[in-house]
Amino acid sequence: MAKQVAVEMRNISKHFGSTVANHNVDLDVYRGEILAVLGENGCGKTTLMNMLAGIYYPDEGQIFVDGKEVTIASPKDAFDHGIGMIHQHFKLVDIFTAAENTVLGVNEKGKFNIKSVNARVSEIAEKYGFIIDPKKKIYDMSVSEKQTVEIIKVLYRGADILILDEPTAVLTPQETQKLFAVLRKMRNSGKSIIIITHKLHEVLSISDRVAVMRKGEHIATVETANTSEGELVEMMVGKKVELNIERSEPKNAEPRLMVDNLCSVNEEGATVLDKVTFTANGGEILGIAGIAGSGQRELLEAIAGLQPVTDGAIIYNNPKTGAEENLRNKTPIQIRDLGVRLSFVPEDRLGMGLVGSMGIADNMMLRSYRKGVSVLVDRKKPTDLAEHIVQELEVVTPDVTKTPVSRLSGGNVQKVLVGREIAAAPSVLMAAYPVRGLDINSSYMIYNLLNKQKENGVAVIFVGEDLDVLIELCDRILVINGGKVTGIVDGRTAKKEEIGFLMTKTEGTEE
Amino acid sequence: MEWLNFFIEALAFGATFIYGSTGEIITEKSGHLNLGIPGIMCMGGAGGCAILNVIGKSGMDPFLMVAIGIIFSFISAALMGLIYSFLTVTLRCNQNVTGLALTTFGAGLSWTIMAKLQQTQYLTTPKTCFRLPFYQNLKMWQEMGLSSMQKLGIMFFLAIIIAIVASYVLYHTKVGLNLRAIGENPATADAVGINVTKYKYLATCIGSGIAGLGGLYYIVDFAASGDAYKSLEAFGWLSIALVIFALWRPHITILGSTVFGILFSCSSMLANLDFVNLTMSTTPILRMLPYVVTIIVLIITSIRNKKENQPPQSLGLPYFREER
Repeated sequence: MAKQVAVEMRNISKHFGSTVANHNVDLDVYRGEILAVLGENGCGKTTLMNMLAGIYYPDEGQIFVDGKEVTIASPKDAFDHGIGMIHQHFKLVDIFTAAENTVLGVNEKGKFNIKSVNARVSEIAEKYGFIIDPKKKIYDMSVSEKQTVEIIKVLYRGADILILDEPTAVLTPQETQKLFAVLRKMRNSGKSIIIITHKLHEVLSISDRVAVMRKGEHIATVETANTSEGELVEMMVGKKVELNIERSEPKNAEPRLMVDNLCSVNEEGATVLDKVTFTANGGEILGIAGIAGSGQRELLEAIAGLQPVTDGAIIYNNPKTGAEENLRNKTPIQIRDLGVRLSFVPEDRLGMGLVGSMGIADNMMLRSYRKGVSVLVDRKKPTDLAEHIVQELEVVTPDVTKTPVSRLSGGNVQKVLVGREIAAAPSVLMAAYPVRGLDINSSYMIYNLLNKQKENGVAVIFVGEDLDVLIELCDRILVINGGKVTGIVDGRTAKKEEIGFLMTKTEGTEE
Repeated sequence: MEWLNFFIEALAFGATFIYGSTGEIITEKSGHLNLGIPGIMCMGGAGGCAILNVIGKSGMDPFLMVAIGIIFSFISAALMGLIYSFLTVTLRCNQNVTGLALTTFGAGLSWTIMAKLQQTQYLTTPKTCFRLPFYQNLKMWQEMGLSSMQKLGIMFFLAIIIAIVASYVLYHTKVGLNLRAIGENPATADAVGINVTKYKYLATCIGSGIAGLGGLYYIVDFAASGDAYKSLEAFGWLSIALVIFALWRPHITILGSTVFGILFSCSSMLANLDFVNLTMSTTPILRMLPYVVTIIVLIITSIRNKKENQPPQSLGLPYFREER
């Protein structure tokens, strides 16, 4: 290997209490390469990189930069060695401009002058092909723009080793392509790029080498050109994963939820749902596909009574009484009591649905505390339920009552959230991005859970972003674009291209 | 002339709040809600008076006497800030509880100290020193009918300067950018290598020191009475309310404190007018006005919901790097 080693990590170990996050990890990064760090959720990839970025301090082991042993005790030390990290959760000050965020913490000689900073930010942006307005406030920015600011922030400090933690998790496919183009440009100018991810196709398309991690240990580092998807999955999970999602034929499918000409506007007065009409059948999984922000979230919230509806009807066929009821006139609590459940997994997993500082059992109680006549809450049932979910869904947690859910890894948090909604025996289960950020095993577990609900006669509505999954899992797929339904296709016969076309279909191309 | 005098008096009175609010703003910008400001202002007053009690009759150079008074007042208040920052930054105690405890402690201690001091020592001579610029020509001002001009002493102008400098530092320098970032999002500031703990300590201690000067100013300069220290705690609370009024911008406290000063003293002003009959119960109601105005400002800023006018985002939240 003629390439020059930029960073070497030797025998790195890190513990959090009794949990081992990293154990004797070795890692090399060369100059002018893109290294992908691949692993399931909670395998310690982020922890490892946080030690390189100075967020955590390793319990054991050594770090070498350019062959010299260094101590990285703080993010400042990391910057001094040219290491910069772009975190999954952006670390930006909302009320500052892009330039102000960029210059934050940089020790420059001379008088502080925001104009010269603006100019330098534009210069960096031009060099690598970013599009950014240095004077724009962060709170006015889209996710992708925020990420750009993060990257510029690191480049402004002259970093030549960049760590990106799951950079594509929040991006649309187009934005991802743009990002990858920028990353390649940086690599070609001699920078080392480490990208933490669990998306295999991205690993294969962008990286030069792949370091695979499993349960806090480094399994192997391979050249991307000499490996295959199958091999990587095997190293990542340690056991063969069934790639086919089971799909049973719908039994006794009967209309459960009929949405008719549903319209809604958002706070700014823009139309977010435009005459949406569809039927969700019991015993069937209805997939909803669309580019991020096409109205999926609003649709689910409208059904759950959380989003004001301006026109249309939501007719619910009550399986118990056989009566038809219009959900539009009901409060969220009434809708929930009818058995329509929303398991919303927002971008920020703990924002909606779970309380981060409470244990699993207490989070279960959030849904059940209204039950019973006593003024005192019943802790026994929620605790039992929590234990059941932990066991059934293999949630990794030290205990169910004490550990706050914010301490669990993302995947485990998601399992708790979905598990709780399913436990309520719903008749309509709506799940938005339930597998976002989850590793393969956990994802399959969620798919199985949804399938089980379907077999029980529940109408499952699944909002997903991965088309392959939608096609394999769903019986029918509703495609939405700009708040309009552009088509409903059969999951068994649909082609990816067909759905992709519907997702991007605009008014001009309509018949 | 009556009205102009009243206005100047309100201006002079307001300087007490300029100190208190500017100090609190600097502290809040680091993400710490210091409810100990009333106690800290009391201690700033007591500390300054204690040293003036020693040097008050020594016949030293007036400027030196003022400087020593100010420095000691600043130090005693900053020490209170140090207690607060040790508890809330290092030990991560609840900020509200710590602040309230400090207010009770500071107010009590200052009363004990003040009771032991001799009014004639710390007030009589020092007062003339603190009011240097206009007091010397008192006769002339009185002839012009503006006797209240004498109230604008050295520390009044110091308050204005501090407020303007604080605004400049906060919004036009690197240090200010860093400090504001810490108050908004300490994890972000930490990630870019800013020493969060250092900034929090310094902001709290300097902010407390500045607030403490308000205590000294009120006792020795503005009120210049042996009983003045007893109302300081109330003015501390008013200063905290003024922070909201000023939308966390120190230079706006100059305007805000004048408004507060006018509103607060309008009861005594109205009492002097012949055609108004004030009963015992109306005075306290009129004294509520500053708080009512604060609530109105709070409502207006909430409705407009401009992000720049909101309190620092992580205000009141302790920061611990490895907390997830």
